[in-house]
Amino acid sequence: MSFGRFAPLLVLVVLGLVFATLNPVFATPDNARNILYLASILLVASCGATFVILMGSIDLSVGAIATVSGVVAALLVPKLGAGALVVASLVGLAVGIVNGLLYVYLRIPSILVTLGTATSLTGVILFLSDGGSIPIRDTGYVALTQMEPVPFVPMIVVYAIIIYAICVLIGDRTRFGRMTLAIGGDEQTTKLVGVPVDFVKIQAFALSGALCGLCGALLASRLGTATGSMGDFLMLETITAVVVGGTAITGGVGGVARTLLGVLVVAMLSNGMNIIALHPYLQTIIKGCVILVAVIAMNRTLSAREAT
Amino acid sequence: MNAPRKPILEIRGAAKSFAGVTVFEGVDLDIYANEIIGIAGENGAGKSTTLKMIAGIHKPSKGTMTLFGKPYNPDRYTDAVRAGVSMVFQEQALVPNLRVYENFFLSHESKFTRAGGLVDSGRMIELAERHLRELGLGHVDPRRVTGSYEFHDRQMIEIAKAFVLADFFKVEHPIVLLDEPTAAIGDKEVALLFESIRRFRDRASFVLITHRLAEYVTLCDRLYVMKDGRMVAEMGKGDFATSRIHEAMVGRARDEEYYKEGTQKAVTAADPVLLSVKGIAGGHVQDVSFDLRQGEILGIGGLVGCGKEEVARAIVGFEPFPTSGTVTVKGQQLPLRKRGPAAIAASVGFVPKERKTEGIIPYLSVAANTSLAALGKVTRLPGIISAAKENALAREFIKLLHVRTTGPRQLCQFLSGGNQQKVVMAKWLARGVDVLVLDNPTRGVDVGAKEEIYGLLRDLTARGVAILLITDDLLELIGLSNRILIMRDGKVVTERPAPPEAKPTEQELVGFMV
Repeated sequence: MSFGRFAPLLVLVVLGLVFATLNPVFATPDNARNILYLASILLVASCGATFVILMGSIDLSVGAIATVSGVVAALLVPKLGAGALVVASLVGLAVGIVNGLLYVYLRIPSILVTLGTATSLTGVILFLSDGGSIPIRDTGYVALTQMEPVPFVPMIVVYAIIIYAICVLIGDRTRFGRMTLAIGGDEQTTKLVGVPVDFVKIQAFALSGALCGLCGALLASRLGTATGSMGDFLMLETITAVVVGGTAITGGVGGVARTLLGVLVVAMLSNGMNIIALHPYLQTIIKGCVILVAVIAMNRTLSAREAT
Repeated sequence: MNAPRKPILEIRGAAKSFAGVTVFEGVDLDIYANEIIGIAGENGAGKSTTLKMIAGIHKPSKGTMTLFGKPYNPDRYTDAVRAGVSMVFQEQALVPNLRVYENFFLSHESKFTRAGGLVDSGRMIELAERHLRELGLGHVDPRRVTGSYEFHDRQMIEIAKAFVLADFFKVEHPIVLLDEPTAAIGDKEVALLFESIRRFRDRASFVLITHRLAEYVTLCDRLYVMKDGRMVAEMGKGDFATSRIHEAMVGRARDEEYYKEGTQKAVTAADPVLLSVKGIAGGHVQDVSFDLRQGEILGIGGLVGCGKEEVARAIVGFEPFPTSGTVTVKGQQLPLRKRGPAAIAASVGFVPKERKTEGIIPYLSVAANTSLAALGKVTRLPGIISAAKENALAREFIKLLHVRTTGPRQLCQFLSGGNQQKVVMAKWLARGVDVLVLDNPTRGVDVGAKEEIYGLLRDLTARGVAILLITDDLLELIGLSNRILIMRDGKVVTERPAPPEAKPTEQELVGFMV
């Protein structure tokens, strides 16, 4: 494929070199582990978000779902242990289904539906956590993500890779995956070949919700605690990762496979800016610019293709 | 009127082509003061593009235009408005939530600003009121929200806008272009509209395009007829009757070879009925019934808006569609709810009119488009698509339909219109169809690919597929069909057999269409 497809890889290499030059700490195994933690968390949520964005929809409730599921997981760990992961995923699944149903049957744009559910969930989180944080004292649950089968590579990386591989398979090789791509490409055409478009949309939001729920529970395990704002960063960073990876924000172009590179770029950027001690306000400005640049680059690639 | 007048708009040798495809060429046209002219022609004859050229929406590729004795080269519609040419759009170009006077002066507010940049709406309203009164539209309140007026009044408001802006830009005698102004209104409103246009004639000239030929006869002083992108006739008042107009419009020679008429399958009452339609009604469609037999091509013709497309939509369940009546495929009646999937399950394929938004998905590959309706055939493990099987399926159809592509993985957007249309066909053939419903299957398709598609349709009928052909192209309708239905105003007005040895002529059919 063209150069555009590998642009994120180039960005990744350049970023790595720049950060390593500015601060040698960046290129140490300890820091690599930090990046892997962040990237793994982000990858789990971004895999689901990719399906939604591919359809030309958007899910702004990603962060809220992760937080509420993480809090639920932290509350249930004393009773359920690792089973809390399952319950958290089911909470996410339920919210995702609600998102999908509201989107499809009330014909409300997905951006508004998910903004609404995200806001409501923030209230739910405050009730559940009583505005504070919920520590996790079960070392087994913490070890779920933090145990290192290979030095410097925590277990969460393994989970993320498995989920990524399954999602790539779903995206590239199943009817559901093909239909999300087709809906984003042209909804009317897709409807006319008999695809139950509404059902596919609900499924995509459900999948995104379930993965965000799982992501929240993993995040709680990674942090050893659950707080009311722990998932906030996910909304912006999943969208950035998906778009930087090369999925069009308007849908129809891209895929889960590409999201991996986007996730690595975003994780490395976040981590690297911290390592070189960039002013936190400036970091936020840069993250915003990254989205803009990625969208512009994508639009240019698409219009260049249309011109030929 | 005083005899040797000079035209206010002169067009000489105008030509227009899009991406190398000529829409019209060698067009000469004059518009005199206080005159209502018409431009008639079949779909695709170039009349609409000619109108848009006058309105500055399309630039001519060749030729000159002179307006009020000065060269006229509008770059965009607003240039035309400034020069005194306005267009009343079919789909109404008024913003419904704005007030009438705000619509009049939309984008010209800067001419009304007072100190401090505030808009002087008082002066706008005053001006609007004066014009509306002068035009005999005193009942229209410029302060009212535009959307609260009926369609007819909004049309009047749009015409009034042409006068207001002409006056505003100091043009004495505006030219108003009317693009199918009667397409969406009833007889009463048409009468009102025509009465007003006649009344306004002492202050302006009008150019009318309509698909109802009788309206040219009622309203126009002079008529131009276009055919295949050329001006073929110019007629003066009293000189034209509907029969003479459509004689000039049609009359192309039909090449029997081109439509493979020799291989047209003979269909008899002994052949089984695959599709039976009874009493389809809804919208403005009334009681359409017919049977379609195995191996038959049944054509439905009629002017745009006659209801033929709605009939196709009802059969394949493409919403919104006329909901009354029944559609039966191979003895199975299709349900009203979820009719689309039910029709597909009953092996009905549909090639829609809008290829790029209803037929293919441009960003997907040829293979992915081909397998879209038949994913079950390219899976290996249950539910897992096999790229190898998918590519093999696509290759089979690329070969069968002569799709010109670099391979199964090429994106559909890079194919030509004709090859995209072959992919749409492939999509249904890959699934396997017994009934194929085609809505203008060769629209925007080049001549060579057209012939290949015709050949394919003949092959399909030979294999027993029944085809319902909806088309605006009369020659295609005549050449391909075993039997022809003509619709007018939502009803089937005639049924004509069309065996290869006794095909009806265009003139015969047009007589029923208008």
